[in-house]
Amino acid sequence: MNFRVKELMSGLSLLLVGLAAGEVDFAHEVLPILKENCVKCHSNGKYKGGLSLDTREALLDSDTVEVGKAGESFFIEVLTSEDEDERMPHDADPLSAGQIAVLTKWVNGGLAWEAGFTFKEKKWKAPLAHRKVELPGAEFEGGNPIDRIAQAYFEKNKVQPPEEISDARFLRRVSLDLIGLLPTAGELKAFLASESEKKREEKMRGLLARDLDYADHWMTFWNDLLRNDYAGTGFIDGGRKQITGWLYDSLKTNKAYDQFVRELMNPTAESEGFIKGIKWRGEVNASQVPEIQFAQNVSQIFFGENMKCASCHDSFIDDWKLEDAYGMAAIIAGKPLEMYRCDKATGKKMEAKFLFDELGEIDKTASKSGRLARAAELSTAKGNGRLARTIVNRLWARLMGRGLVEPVDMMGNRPWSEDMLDYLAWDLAENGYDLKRTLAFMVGSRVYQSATVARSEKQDDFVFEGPVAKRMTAEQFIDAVWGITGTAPGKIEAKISRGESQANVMVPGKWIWSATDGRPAGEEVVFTKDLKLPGGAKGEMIITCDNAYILKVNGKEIGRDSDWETVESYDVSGALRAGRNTIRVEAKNLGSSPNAAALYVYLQLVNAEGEVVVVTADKEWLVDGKPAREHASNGWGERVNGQIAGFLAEGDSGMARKVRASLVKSTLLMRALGRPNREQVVTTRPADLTTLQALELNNGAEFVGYLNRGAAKLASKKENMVRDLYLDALSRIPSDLEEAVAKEVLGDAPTPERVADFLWTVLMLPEFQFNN
Amino acid sequence: MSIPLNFENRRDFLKKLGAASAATLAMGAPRLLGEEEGEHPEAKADCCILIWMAGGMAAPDTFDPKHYEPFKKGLSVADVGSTFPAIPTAVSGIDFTEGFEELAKVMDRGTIIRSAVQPDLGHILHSRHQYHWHTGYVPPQTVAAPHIGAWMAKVLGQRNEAMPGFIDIGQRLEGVGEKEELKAFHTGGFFGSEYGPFLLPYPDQAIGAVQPPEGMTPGRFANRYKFYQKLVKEGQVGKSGSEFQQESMLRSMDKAHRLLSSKESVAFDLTKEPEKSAAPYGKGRFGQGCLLARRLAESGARFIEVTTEYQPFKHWDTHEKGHQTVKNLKKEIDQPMAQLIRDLEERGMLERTLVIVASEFSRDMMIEGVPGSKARDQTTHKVDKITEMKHYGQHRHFTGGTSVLMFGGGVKKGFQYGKTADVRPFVAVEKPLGIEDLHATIFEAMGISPKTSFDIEGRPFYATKDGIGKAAREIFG
Repeated sequence: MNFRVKELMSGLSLLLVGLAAGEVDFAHEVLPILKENCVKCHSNGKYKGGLSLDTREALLDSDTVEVGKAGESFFIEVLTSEDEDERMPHDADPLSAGQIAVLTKWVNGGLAWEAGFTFKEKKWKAPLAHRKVELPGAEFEGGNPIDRIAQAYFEKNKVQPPEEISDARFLRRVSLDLIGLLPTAGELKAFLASESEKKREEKMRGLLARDLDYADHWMTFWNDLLRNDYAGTGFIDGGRKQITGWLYDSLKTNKAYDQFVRELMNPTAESEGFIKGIKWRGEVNASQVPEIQFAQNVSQIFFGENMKCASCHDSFIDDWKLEDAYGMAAIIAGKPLEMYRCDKATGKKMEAKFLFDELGEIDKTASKSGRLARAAELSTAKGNGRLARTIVNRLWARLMGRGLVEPVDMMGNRPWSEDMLDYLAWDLAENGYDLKRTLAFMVGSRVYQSATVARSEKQDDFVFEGPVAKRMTAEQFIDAVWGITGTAPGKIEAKISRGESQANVMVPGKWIWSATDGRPAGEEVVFTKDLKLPGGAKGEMIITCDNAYILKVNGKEIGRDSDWETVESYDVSGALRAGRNTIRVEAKNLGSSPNAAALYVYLQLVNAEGEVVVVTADKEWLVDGKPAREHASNGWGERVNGQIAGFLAEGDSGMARKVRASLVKSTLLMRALGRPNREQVVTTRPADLTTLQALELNNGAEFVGYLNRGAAKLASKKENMVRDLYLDALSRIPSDLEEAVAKEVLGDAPTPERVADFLWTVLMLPEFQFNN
Repeated sequence: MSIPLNFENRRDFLKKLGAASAATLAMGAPRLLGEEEGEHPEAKADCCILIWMAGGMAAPDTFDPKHYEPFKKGLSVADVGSTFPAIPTAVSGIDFTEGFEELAKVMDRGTIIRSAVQPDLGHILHSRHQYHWHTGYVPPQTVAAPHIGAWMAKVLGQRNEAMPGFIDIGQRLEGVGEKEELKAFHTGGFFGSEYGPFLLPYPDQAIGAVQPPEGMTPGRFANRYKFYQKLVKEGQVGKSGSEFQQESMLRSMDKAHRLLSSKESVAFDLTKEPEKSAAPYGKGRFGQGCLLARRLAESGARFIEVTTEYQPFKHWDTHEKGHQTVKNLKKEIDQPMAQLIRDLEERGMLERTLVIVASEFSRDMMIEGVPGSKARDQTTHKVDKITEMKHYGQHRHFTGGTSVLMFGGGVKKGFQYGKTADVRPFVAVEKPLGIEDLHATIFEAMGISPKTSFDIEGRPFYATKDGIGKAAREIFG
């Protein structure tokens, strides 16, 4: 049976091109034979007998090969010719029987070729040093440099510049790109109403100034790159260490990128998880020991170079050698590293050597920390333009949907505009490696603020015509869904600090239930509190209970937990109504014998008049209908006051700060939507929705749960539901036709079921799921 | 391939799409680069069912009986090979151990491999060996290695487009120990989530995964989709024409919708199995899993794994009380496995279905790893003399000789491949078969070349490590 298996799958986390399933492997078997015997005379400008082996296409054009039929291929025939004048290679020993067999199989098996590979020597070599670009278009003095370069590029390539997008579209795009959130209807209204000439710039500066939102969003990008997560392989037995706290702080404070890289390569206790890598117990392949992981990851993440081939043998597809991979690995190794070729010891030892050794040497006698410090120095040296080029290219790819260089991990490839890449890289290095400055440059450009064009699969001869639509990441999608349905979880799982240190702060509020008398094990009681809010209110509720609780507001479940050592914070805005409200906590004492039990509640609201209303657990609450007893915080406070203070510090003027998807452990839904396992470095998320993902969005319990809970809240809100959802989700108002369809879905009296269906139809729109 | 966004014609278009080769469809319409065709062996089976004995199934207490010593106080560990007596099977010369009476009766339909071996990975870790068994690669890897089921889904495509290509029955990935390690290989890897496992941890709830959400009637479900299509048409996409990504998204939504409304979904519903044919599978989760596997195979699934479920220190992961645990386990699994073989045969499906029974490694009373390995001894009771029943069992991880059963898919009937030593150490003494070769054998049956490779980050990544797997062709008749 035959299968066509040669194909290109684009948009995966890695570049993936199918080889033929034949019996030979081009890179490892065929290429060395051609290289040694054939290409000297038949490639790279020399095409004796008219035969070019530069590319597969060129070889096919020569008509010397009948694919699948070696017996009818002149290319094979000449290898065994009796006639010395005809036999190839000329004036050299004939190929061995084994070599001929490989080439025969190669032709029979379909003439597999490495995608994009050519024997033609690349005339272009990626420069290492920075280059200061002379900006074209003097008449645009003071204009955005990106646009000046793009203008010249468009003219040269005869490209019609894409049209500018509307304010509404800009706001949606820039919010998702810079902070990962959809703009609220209120933000949109204010933005559209603004008459400032610089309102786009003001908006983008405003978004970049939202340090916490910015950090929340970019955690996703960096966690993927640096293989950081809150759960995963290796943690079970200490074979892996998080850098979460350090990373979050670095993003929050917009740490200079060169400093950021130095702290990763020559780390403190907080950032050492990155170079430590992931260790499974037991013995691993020589190309997978933590030292080699260091070589591969540093090269890929910071410099866009692939050391994975060279970790086993000299690379067949580029110029990296086994020595280069081991030289990098030896920087972190305790001693000169013995080299293994394809998992077999070579007996040779490799001393520490930096990837770009023209930048400087690493003192072989230095201690490990000395070597790491030196490597960090070389990585961020003035002469190393690759560091900046790699990161600006990654940011460009994030914002514009495709990199200046593609794939983003092959920075040796030529960018579609050297001027653009070099200018942005130079500018970054010249201005304190301020990544927010680079982002501002990009989103401030007319190029960014342009209508999207179709995605091109072209690698060579790619011509930039405008930005490309980006699919929302799993985190962006889920944050948006949580926002619209009001179903964000109560707890951040990443160990981060959003505010200042919360040690030993005074925590308001009281504890109730029973601090001293042992309550029976398994006792279940109900705490209630009535609350009058004439005009309604918004706010968050902080709660924990020894041992377990179910929290309900006006009969709707808000959340539940059974671990008193963690404190939860819930946004209760959607559940509150004008008039009388009832807060109900169904509490349970666990254990095997009578023991102390306690409940803490702190509810901070902003009412319709803008006044702050605080409700805490106290003797005004009823327990099974009788007044509750207040008591001191005892041991509970010691353990959880820090968390409570943390929630209080996070709240923006009493309003809840939402838990973001980037700050919780991966769920089935997130995994389904493309959040990776983070055992490998991931630099690009899948671009397409697959059927299994679509299934999860059709009937997956998690997503269905969000819809149903959101619908239950929204169903009580009769007015402007359709319009509000369109504004929240799509940053526009619905057309008349869309209103009509919505009416059909919702009927005259929207039930929660109908609202859930309506939510689904809008959230499934490509217009929603793409940042277009 | 682009979908015409003209919804009147959409039905016709999808019909045509359905007629296209299942393989192309399953690829999420990747771009074909050329007309090259590679050589795969001719497929002997269309469907593969892997019955996974999670946690290390001791060959001496299951399919490779050794010297039996019943429990008695003061028994020397060194004197015990098996803790169960041998029983004959339908094939003379091939014995099993007590407790597998039903499976013994169908041995004349299959082949037993007694010489599977695993590499010495130092400290022996279930999740690491399971990762190795399921992907063919030892973790960690620089790229996400696909599960063997993902390879089949990717290379062979779906048999029936309404049936996911890779179905995994019985393993939870949440709420169990080492769940992160389990997630690492329950994946489509670099093939992407399209080829990842369709997870059905509870067979009796499987139907929930392929029908509209709980509480939604089929009518409401159909309406919801109808309204969605209207909105798509009215929305900006419908007006502004084609965008590859958006079309691709709509295509996936459509496939999902059809799957959830398809007649095949009934295969996932165990309550639809007639009482008479359901009864032999029993009510246990594993037995129900076998029944579900049979129903899905009948409906055109490509690859199905059914597991006893890996949970540290549970089921086959016996670090103490091994004998009693295995005795109980056999009661749960013997009858359903045998019934699966019989059902497949009765329905004329066995010839084209490869059923494999395997585990990440074997177990031994005395030896951790293989003789001479430095693996840390992980038994809970380090005793030379057995004084209590809890000492009696196979409590160490043994990698030197493991049994694998295969039925259908062109394997010989009543055949034994390889052999372990009669006296301890019970290592494979004839035809040792490593993971690469075992996988090559499985791929051979399924019609996949062990050298099938995909270029990832400029490097070839093979169906068997480095493409070196060689099928044990002898087992095919």
